[in-house]
Amino acid sequence: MRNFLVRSLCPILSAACLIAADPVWTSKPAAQWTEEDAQQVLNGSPWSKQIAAVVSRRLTEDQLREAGQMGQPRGVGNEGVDPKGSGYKVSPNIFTGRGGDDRSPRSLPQGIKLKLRWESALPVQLAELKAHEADPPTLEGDGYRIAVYGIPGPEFRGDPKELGKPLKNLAALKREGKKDVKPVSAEVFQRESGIIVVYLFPLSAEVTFKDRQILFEAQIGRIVVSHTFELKDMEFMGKLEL
Amino acid sequence: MNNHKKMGQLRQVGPTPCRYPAITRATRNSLGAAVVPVCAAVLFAALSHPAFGQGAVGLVGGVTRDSASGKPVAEAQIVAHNLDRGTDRATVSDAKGVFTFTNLEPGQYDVAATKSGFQRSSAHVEVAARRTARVELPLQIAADVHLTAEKPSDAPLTERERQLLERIDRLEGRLAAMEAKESGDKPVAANTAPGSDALVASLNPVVAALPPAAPRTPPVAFPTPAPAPVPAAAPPQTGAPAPAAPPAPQIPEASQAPDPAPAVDNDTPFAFGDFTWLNGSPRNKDTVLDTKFFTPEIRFDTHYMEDFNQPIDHTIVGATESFRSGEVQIEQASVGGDFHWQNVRGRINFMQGLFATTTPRNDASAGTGQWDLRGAYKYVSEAYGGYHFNVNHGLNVDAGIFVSYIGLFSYYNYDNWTYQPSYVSSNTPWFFNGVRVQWFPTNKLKIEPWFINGWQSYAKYNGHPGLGGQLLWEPKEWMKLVLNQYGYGQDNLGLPKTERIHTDDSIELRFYNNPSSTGLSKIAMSLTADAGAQYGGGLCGTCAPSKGKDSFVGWMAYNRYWFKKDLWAITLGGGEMSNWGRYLTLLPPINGADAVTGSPYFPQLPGQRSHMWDSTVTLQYMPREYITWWAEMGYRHADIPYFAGRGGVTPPGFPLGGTNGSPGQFVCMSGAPSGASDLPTAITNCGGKANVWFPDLRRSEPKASVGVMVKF
Repeated sequence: MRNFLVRSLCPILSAACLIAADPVWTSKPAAQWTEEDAQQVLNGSPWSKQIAAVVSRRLTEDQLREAGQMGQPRGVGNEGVDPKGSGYKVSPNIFTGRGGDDRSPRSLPQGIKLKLRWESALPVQLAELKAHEADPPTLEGDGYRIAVYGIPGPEFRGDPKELGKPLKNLAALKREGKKDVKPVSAEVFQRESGIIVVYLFPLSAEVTFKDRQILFEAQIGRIVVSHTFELKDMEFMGKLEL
Repeated sequence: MNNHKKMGQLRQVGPTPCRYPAITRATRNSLGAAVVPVCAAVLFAALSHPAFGQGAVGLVGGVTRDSASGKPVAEAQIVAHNLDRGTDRATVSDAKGVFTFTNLEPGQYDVAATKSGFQRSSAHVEVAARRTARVELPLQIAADVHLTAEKPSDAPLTERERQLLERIDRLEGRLAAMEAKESGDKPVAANTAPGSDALVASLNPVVAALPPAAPRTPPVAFPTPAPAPVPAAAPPQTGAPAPAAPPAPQIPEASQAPDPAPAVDNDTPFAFGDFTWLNGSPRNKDTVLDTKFFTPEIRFDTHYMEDFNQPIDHTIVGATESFRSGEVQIEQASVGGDFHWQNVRGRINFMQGLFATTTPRNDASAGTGQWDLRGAYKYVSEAYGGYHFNVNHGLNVDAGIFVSYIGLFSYYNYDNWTYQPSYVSSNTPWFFNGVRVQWFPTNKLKIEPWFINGWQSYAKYNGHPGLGGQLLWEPKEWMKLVLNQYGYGQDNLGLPKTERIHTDDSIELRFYNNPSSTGLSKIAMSLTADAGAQYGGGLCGTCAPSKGKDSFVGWMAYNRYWFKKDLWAITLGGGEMSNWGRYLTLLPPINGADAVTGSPYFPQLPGQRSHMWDSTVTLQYMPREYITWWAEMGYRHADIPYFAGRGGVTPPGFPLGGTNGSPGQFVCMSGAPSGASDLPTAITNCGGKANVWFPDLRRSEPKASVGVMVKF
């Protein structure tokens, strides 16, 4: 019985201790960050979140035509987002079936894991340097830069700005009681690890701790992204870092 | 700032601790891989190393790369040889090819990299106190040395490289500003690098809890540092083992927990909801056949109908969905699809089967002028091309022949809740020929003006084209409101001064939805109301019948219940119409009559009324999303003799395949044309009233039908 208790409690206590440990961005000077620390900042911190986004359902040609379009939309977030084999399987049995359940997986919304990162935040930039991220996505101009990592798809050729153009108007930063902020630009970067979409929001949209939360919403082709960041967690060196 | 040097040559950096390497064509592609790690290594080494900042040492950082591929070379032996003192310091490049020497005494150094399989590479470096210098050491594969030509060193920066350099500049500037802020009014030398303990302290208040820093001695730019707690970034070049890094804490739960996201596309019009339940919309959930440039569409519609009036000529009249009795018939066999390339678009859908002849016969415009327009269009149900503009949520301009929206039900029976819709739908247009603009100002609204030849017409009857439009609003998944308006057109053959107006408005509501239920899974209803009139040229919409009243009022309503996860559905409904002047009453095909010929047996004159109602019960079985089996019972009633009775509508003799070739005349009992479209003359010509043939028209029509429809 004692052994059982020890075996049971040890992992729990260990996990609790680890969870209770202060994150590196509050417990350790940036100068002392190890590469692992930097990875933590880059992959799981108030400035970098793994989120559950949604790939909206694939529309039929009839629905597209009703929507004024023809053909499946192309471009980032549209191509390569459906898993292989998720299309409709035509059964030769025309006498029995599942009625409304006789549908393909891609005709239903699918979940997708993405990563959002405030590229403009100082801790992220420091961590990128520390982690030797060779070519972090950057945009021209000052502002809040939010990157969306992990978008599936084939290799898109073309100017990052041109690829990002259709996405610019489909993103916003939202704060309670304030006007939504639209990005001034959006670009698409192709990396070995996948596609990254980066939005640049103007600094003129002042964000303070008083806003408490900031909601980032974007639609990248069929991928719908929505995440609320807690501003109180995004303090770095006594300052709100975005 | 970005002076270009030959590969391997040292560059002494200026006021900030990290500047950029000489960029040659060979290195440009790998700039990202080279610059940032080196900057990072140097910067963090500067920030971290306890010895740095004491005023007597400098830093060297660099990267080793394969000179051919530009890829970093890991585990290369790096030796920094002090030319003045003859001493050596050694380290090894990391996985990214980065190496760092901290705490080097100022002086002249020869930094060399060696690795098995590569030629030795070296560079001359001058190390100054409190300065950082960086060096690149390209390693050439031994066998390839003789093949390698000298690379030009003055290649211009690409835009991407320039952005990267600017970004790092900005970051460095920000770090410097933070340092300055933290240092308060302490003097900072122009060339100081922000690699001091002041910066370390500035980077986190936690440092305040660390051991106090040694006294600083102004005006030295780099204050005397306290030992950095953990020189994490410095490689173990001195031989002393680096302190073990503390275990990385777990990522806080709050940082990992995904929050819910809306699952809807709010950009594409009407994509926020599933509208496949709508009457008049196909219920397919996926496109089976699809390519990048063309999306095909295939439809088959076959049925068996039994008109309980049992017409001997098997002819059903007064509908655009029911044509033959007691037979299996192919109502429609269509092949077509959508062409799409970028914003250019086109759609073609051919039609074979009964539709190919039953649809064109209702268009009288083909009687205007020459060329066989019915022949030209009879096998085409849709054919148009256009362009999609990326305006708001979309703007299309298309020209060609389109299926009509008026009457709610789709032209294609597969899309509808019932097979035989009421008069409001069955008697209203099936196609438009002209230009349409579709504008989607929001994702829930479509505004669509039409500039067309006329009401259900291949051609323009008279002087005016038809103008119209649709306003479609689907604010919620459970609601659709569609308003169709038409006017200006002069849509009567031989009546150049008569104009037509019409309004057709529908609402559809789904007021119960439980798609996973094996019982009742869905309930929805549709309600349509139409009104119209013709005026001018002796006709009027609201005057007395004796003064040429031409007007239309009608409605239809359907209620549909889905069962067992939408496997089954039953629809109950019907409608009514009152049409003065009968201009929207389908002409029975008596003796082959059509909209051009007219028929003396069913005059369509101003002031003559046709009032009709109907009802249907339709059962649909939908095992797959591409197939519908159906059965329907219907009853239609008219206040005037209208529907085919047992005697049928085909004159005796059938000399010309069901018609004597003169549908505009009365027919004699012999089957021959009477030569007259007025009855007295026909009686005379045929040799008596008993010798004039009359079709068997009834006031009612009970009917049962079954069929199967397929759509891919």
